[in-house]
Amino acid sequence: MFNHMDRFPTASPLPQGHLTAAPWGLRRIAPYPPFEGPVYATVTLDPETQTARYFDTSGAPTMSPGHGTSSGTNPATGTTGQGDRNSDSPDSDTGNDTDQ
Amino acid sequence: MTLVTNDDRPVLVVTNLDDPTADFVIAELHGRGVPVVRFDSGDFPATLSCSAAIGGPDSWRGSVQTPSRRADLGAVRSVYYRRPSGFAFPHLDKQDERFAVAQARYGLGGILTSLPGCLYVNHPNRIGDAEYKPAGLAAAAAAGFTLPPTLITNVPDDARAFIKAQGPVIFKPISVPLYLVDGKAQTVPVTEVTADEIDASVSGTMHLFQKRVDKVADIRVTAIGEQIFAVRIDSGLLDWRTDYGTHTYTPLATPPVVERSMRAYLKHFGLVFGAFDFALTDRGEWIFIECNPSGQWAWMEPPTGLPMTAALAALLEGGLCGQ
Repeated sequence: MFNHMDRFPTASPLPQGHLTAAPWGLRRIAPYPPFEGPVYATVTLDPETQTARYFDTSGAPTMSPGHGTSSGTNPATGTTGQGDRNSDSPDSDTGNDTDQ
Repeated sequence: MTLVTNDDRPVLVVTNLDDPTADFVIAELHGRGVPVVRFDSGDFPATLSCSAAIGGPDSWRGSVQTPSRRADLGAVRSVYYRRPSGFAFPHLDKQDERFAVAQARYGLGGILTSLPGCLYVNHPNRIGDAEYKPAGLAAAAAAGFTLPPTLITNVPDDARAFIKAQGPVIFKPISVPLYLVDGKAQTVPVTEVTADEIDASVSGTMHLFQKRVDKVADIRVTAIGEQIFAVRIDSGLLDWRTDYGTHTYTPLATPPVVERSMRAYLKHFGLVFGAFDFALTDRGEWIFIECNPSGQWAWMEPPTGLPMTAALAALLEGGLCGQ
């Protein structure tokens, strides 16, 4: 909801036509480590408990991803986002928002 | 007119639907009989509405309405700000969308960040401040933490000289925005960098270089209100976040001097929650790496038995009265 990134500077960019180098850090961009992927098809809010209910492709209730902590992958409640999780921050340990 | 007792005052949980950590905390609040109103800002305006009036003797009078609950804005005891999604108006053209988003952010967002008598865990604007790594490093130094030598620069020669003087050195992103390759989000893994890898393209934007700490283990300390939960993470990895399968977790005591610095750091940013990362050296030193104002923590509870969910629920339940 809040765009934390846009604090400095906040005005619209005014390109001056200078050619500057594509940043060195771009070369270090790589895919995320393996993640315990979503094992559900849909998620809805339980009006009574205000917690999420997860369902598989057949519409049957399935376990919340947070309860799965199989070894070797990164848990849904851990710090490693996978970026494509529903409205997750790319790095799920920092940031709260993804306004795109 | 009915009197609102403290028991009736709701906790607002602002997060997206797929947030298992929020579910744990909400279930705990439910068990304590604390009313919860949960919503995602991304639901606005389709299934979330809000009216707030001011100008009389009170602060905001009004409510937020979700499909299942209504929260009186003057009665909110605390806000748990987790991982809400952004506003979306995909049916509008770019300019119209920008207008709609700005009204939503400054309007709904402005109301939700100025609720009277409300405890924020954490306040979104305080999170925004604390997410600036350089500000975090400056606050950490002022709070008395030991930091690894760090250079933030776009001057290639300075980067090269730093690596030669301090090596081994790692490169870290200062922030990780959305970056898609074939529709898949990407990241910047924390990796070592040598002086001969540096070239003129370092001038292209700011880059963060940090001396690699010779560590024997990592420590994650989660501060939840007055409570502190320190866990030693043994993984053998440079960045433990890359593979949880290698971890062993051991709760440990936080040295008083470290705790004092943590308190000073949180106070500086106005945070009541913080996830601190430290590197533990073979001499037993705790080297500050960073503090995430919205860090994850729930995955550590099962292997350690630390009552973190209960601590977070208690913090939200207590509201400002508990402070």
